[in-house]
Amino acid sequence: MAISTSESTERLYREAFPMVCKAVARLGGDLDAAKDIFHDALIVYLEKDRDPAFQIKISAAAYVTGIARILWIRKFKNESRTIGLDDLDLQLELGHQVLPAEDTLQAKLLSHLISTGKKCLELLQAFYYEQRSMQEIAEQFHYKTRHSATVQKHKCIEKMRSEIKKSDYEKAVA
Amino acid sequence: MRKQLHEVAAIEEYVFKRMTAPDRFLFEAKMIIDPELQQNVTLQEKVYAMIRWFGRKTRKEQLEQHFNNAMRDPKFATTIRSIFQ
Repeated sequence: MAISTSESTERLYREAFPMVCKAVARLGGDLDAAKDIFHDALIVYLEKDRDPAFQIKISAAAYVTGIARILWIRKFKNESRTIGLDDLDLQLELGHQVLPAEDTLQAKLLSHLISTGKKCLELLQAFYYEQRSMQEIAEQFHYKTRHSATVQKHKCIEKMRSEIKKSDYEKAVA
Repeated sequence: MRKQLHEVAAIEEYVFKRMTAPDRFLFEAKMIIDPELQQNVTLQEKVYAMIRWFGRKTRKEQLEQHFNNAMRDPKFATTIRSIFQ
């Protein structure tokens, strides 16, 4: 199930990507690396942008480029002195990794959950990640009422908890 | 909703800090005497992390599509490729 992105995301993509490419090229990276880091930075920005309290004093493209620089530096563990003062505040705001690296236990667990309960993950993603209302979710996932969609959401969380518990158990006895 | 689903809802209120101070205090007391509840809180926190990662993974796949579309525009593709020459 696709997450909807607006035309403004498309515009931001075309405006910010060349800026990120220039920054990454200066730091010695290639096109694939620039694309990867840019997508991570854009994800961070889009998550922040849905918070009504989120405000920036620079353009969105410059902000995304700033995030990309920090993610790049963090990825290659360069020294903190290479980060400018303007970037430092932003670095403090950024959380942990955008996505778990492949072959980590978290990535394997996510793959396991996708294979055992993709429909549940899609419903939960619509509510928690895309922040859609229960009414929209009821319509999208064909539930008769908002209440039945809410009950299903809780059942899905319970199912995910149980899958994670099983996988923790498997890990513990492995 | 059956008991287990009520517990899911209560944990959600706790994890997202939507409980009043007295309810929070009571919930934390219950966790102390009920290790299963404590374990379920930890598991549910992991569920929320997994949902976020799944959302990001889906979005990243979609951005890959954006990249392919954008690079089909010869002017945009030339601009990008020239940066790495």
